[in-house]
Amino acid sequence: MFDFIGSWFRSREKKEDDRKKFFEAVHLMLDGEATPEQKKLVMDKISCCQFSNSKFELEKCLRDKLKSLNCCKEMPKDLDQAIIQKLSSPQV
Amino acid sequence: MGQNVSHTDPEKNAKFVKEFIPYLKSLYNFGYRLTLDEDDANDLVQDTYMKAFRFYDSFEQGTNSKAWLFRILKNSFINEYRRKAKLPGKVDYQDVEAYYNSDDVDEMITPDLRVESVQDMIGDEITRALNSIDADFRLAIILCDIEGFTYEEMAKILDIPIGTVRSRLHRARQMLKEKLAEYAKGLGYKVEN
Repeated sequence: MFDFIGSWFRSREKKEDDRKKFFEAVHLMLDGEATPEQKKLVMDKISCCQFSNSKFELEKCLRDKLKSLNCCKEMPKDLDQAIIQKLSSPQV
Repeated sequence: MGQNVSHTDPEKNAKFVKEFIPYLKSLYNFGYRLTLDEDDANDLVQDTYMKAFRFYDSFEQGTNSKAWLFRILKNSFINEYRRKAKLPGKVDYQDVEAYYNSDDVDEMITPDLRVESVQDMIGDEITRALNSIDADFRLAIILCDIEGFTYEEMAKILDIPIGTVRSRLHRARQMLKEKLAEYAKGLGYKVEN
């Protein structure tokens, strides 16, 4: 009985550990910071698990959306001149 | 290892302008995303350039000048603008980080946001969600996902270890997803908790 409970907890812990490693590897991979082993872990997992694949696609989509925000804000036209002028003033 | 620069004033001025003005647009965007106000962003950026110029002699040539500028802006924002803007009763950053760094918070308790709902969101919704999260977490997302800095560069800009960069980014993205899930619900998508 105790063996069964012990093995159930160990298996649950391992699954949880694998899941954490997968998510960590996904973030690192999409940030361009993953090791080759972590990339392989992600690619293997997303090719055979629908849940993992959808989580990966969600993270990728979020980053793409965030990248597209980069060019949104219009800078004041004369800001560069204002700075250059300030740099030349004796008070700097 | 880079070398400190030492110039006469006109030469220093010209070198500084050539090296740092190309980052102006990027820096202004960063300032705007932190202050969420055009005038404050304008002041913050001008202040950053003045400080950078004053300390230009201590800048190590050959090192990352963009990261150096971003670091100065981040420090100015934290030291001056955020202190001025801090409202009474605002949730303290330490409390937020302590909660989000607890073991209870991970991928599984994030609402089940789906890729199709995020794909349907327009820039305004993503921007609103990003702007609604605490500035320290917003900073991490802006530096990594919008400005494309590496973890190492972020660690230097934020003055924190790389491990903390990773955990802060992780928490920041969880917070962002929670906000986006609220918008997804508003768009009629089913979001499971």
